[in-house]
Amino acid sequence: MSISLTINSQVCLLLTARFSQRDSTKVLSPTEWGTLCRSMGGAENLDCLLEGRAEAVLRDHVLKEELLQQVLSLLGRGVGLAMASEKWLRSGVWILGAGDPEYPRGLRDLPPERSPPVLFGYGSVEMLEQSAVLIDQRACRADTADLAAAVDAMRGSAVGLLDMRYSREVIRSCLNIGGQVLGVTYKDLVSYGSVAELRQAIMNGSMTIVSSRPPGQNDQRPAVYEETIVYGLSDMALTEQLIRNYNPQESLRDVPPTEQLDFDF
Amino acid sequence: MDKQFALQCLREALSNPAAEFRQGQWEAIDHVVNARGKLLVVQRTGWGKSAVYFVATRLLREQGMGPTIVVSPLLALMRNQVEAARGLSLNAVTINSTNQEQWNDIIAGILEDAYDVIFISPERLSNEFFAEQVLAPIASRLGMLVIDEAHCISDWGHDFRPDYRRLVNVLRYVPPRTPVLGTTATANDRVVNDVRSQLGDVEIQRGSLIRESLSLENIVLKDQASRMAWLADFIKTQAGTGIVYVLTKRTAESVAEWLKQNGIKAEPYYSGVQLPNYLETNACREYLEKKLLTNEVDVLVATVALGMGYDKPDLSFVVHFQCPGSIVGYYQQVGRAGRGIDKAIGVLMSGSEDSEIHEFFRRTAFPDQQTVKRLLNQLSRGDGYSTRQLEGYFNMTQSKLQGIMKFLSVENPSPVTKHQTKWKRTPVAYQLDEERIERLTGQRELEWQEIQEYISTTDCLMTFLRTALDDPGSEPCGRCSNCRGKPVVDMKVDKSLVMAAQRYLRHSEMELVLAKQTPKGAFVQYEIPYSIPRNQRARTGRILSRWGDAGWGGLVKDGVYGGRFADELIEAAAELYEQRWKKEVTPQWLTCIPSLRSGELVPEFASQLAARLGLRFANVIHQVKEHAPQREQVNRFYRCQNLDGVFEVDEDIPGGPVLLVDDLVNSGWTLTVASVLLRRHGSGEVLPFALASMGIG
Repeated sequence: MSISLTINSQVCLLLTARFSQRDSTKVLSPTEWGTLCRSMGGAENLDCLLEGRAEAVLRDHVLKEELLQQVLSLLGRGVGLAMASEKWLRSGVWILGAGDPEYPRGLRDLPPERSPPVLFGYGSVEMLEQSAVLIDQRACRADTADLAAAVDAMRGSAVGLLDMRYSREVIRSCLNIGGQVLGVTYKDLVSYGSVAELRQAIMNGSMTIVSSRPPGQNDQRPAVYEETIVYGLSDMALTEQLIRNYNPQESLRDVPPTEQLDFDF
Repeated sequence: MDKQFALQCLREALSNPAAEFRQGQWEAIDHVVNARGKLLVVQRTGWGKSAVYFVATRLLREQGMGPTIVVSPLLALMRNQVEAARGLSLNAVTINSTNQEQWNDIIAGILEDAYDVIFISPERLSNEFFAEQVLAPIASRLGMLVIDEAHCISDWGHDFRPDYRRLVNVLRYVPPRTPVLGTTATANDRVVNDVRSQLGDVEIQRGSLIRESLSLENIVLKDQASRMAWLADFIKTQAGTGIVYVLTKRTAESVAEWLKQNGIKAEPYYSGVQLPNYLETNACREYLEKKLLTNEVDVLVATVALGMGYDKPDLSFVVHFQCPGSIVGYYQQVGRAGRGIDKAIGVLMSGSEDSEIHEFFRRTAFPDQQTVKRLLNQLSRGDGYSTRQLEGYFNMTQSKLQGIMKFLSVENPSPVTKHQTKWKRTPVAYQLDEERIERLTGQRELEWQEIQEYISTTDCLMTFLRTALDDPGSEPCGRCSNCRGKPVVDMKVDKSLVMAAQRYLRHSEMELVLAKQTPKGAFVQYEIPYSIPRNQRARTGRILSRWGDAGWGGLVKDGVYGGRFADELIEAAAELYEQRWKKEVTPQWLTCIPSLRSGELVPEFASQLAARLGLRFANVIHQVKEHAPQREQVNRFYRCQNLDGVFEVDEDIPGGPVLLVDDLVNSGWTLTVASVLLRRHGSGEVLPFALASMGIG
């Protein structure tokens, strides 16, 4: 993928991203972001905010004054964005804004406050649209090697949190047998990208890593979007089919999709 | 913001209630402030580019924007500008390596909106630690981005600088409606078009580049001694101060010392220059820049390190002792003279060594595909290597390795990333852009040819420069030697001074300090430990000349290629030994480094030298096995490993201090190993001596 930054990605980053771990800018919260997207008719309509009439456009869309001023102020962070983007993109990371055409359907269809405004990733963007089996230890606790073999047999890929022991083991097993995986992380993407095993998998096209956090921001704040990304990128029908092979009594519907994940491994 | 308010700001800045904008100044301000656009301003030095960004900053601050960040190449310029900003009630600050202890306060100040303008260098901007610790916390606050000397961001700018390449990438990602101002005085159409293609929707504003105060002259004097003689005479006749440009650090040192010996207050200036009482090279450079600014020196003998941004309005001459690589480079440097005075002189001298030096610069500017591939393969095998660790895998100097890593790290996307001291491979598939390198190298060759044409042209010299820079108006200047039909400066060369310069060059020997530590694991057979025992280390020695130079280096070169060293070299070495080498111990005998390749060349010279000095010659060191030429081994480990077990020393050797002779020295490892072996076999102190150093300096 060529390294570039669309106008939509730039707007989404200006409004919602901190440019470094030490950046204390008050960016839009998920709720504020959701409000803005709804007012503008979707994230794909935000490009016009960088066309020169941002204030008038925002007023036309009946945004509350406080939010309007915050948005205008955040749009003025262009120099900082350029510096941060240079660093992110130089490390080989791609960036997708919520309104970019390549932004995965599974996330775009969610309410805007639940889906990440920006995705950062390594590897193939196309893999984001492939049928992927959800790897979540609450849904299935099969032996990791067996599960990887089952995913491979279904000619699907696996998607799971790279930061969790169980899903990480399944991901490893998938990679060992030549399968394809989508790893989602709330930790530092670039650090993962420089681990020999994962780097090789990314370079030979068998792995994509995705995060909603800008590279280099490896803090312990709760991951707002990562679980949503895992679920949004998974194919539920395929997942249920696989689960039935192992736990006929258990169904994904019994598992709340946004709670109870244990990040401590 | 209207023009009237901007004009009021300008008048305030200049303390002149009648001041008016120069042509193009308001238009530039209007473009960045009101249209929030990107603009490249190509205007001659002294036009008032800084007034544009100061006034623009003032207006943007009135609109509530954050501070302006100015990327500027020279510390001295930054300091001048900080002062200048005060005139406009702007609070400016510079963040650089010399004020590290203030960084936290400065960051806090920026976060509290206490500063309007922040100056940083491109080197700082691309420093990972600086970016993370200083820039990251304040990045969200920045309003306008200004790039001084913006021609450097072009591939076709006159100097390939990795730090500016990174800046190009930053500029690529500047979103629309973010004010960006680039300024330069040296950009031809090709450079301007390249900058435009890099920045997208950038506007260009171009003015006339003519320098009405400058009288140009070219002088061709092939040998260095004649140029040095002319230079000393010329500077003595000048009332004002100036800059002498040279191509290498070594020449800067040598010419400055020569001028000092001729009663001229001269100092060398280059990247990494050291002075007693100054631990840090930036502080030295700052000190030297200030000395010239305050006329405490007559002249700085400088490399390109003093090229950009140095502003001394009354600088009355710029002399090029050696020819620069391009017209844009030349215009940039000669343009330092005569900014604020009516008359100034620019003299371009050229000599026989120029071509070889530039060929070397071109050849070593970029890494080759094979090396890059091997380096990346090695990095892929692990999770991180320090440069020192990589040295063990590659026959390459540490600085060469660092240069390649730097080159790779500014590629976008980059195949490598640095975490603290370790280089890591990123998941980026990478292929060296050989086509680009070939294009750039070819361009450098064309630029070299163009400046050769400038040297020999009979047309107006200023017109030649302006045409090369695509300046639209190019009427003859009427002041250069070609327009006048007679020299601008006295061309006479004093023969007695030429002879003195020759003597000086032939006395330009160097100290030879051999290593005290070896790379671990390199000497398995000799078992030389990491720290060479004190009683096996050599004393400080001497090197007579630099390979091929204007002193004795040319004769050494002739001797190596012709198979016999001239008698003059024996006399020169003897004279150095007897008259100028203050030895802590006096050698009682002499030996030499043997070579299976060059046969009797060195022993024959050594025995003749011993006879001339009245010392006993004993040929006690023997080469017992073939080894690859030492010059092909380019890092410490490989050089040492290549020598392990190569030499043996006779059991029965004379006692007492010994003069150890070799013809050429590069890293000095051969002499180091021989010294250790001699001491182990019972010799006294070892004083190493070589005819020529192979380093380019």
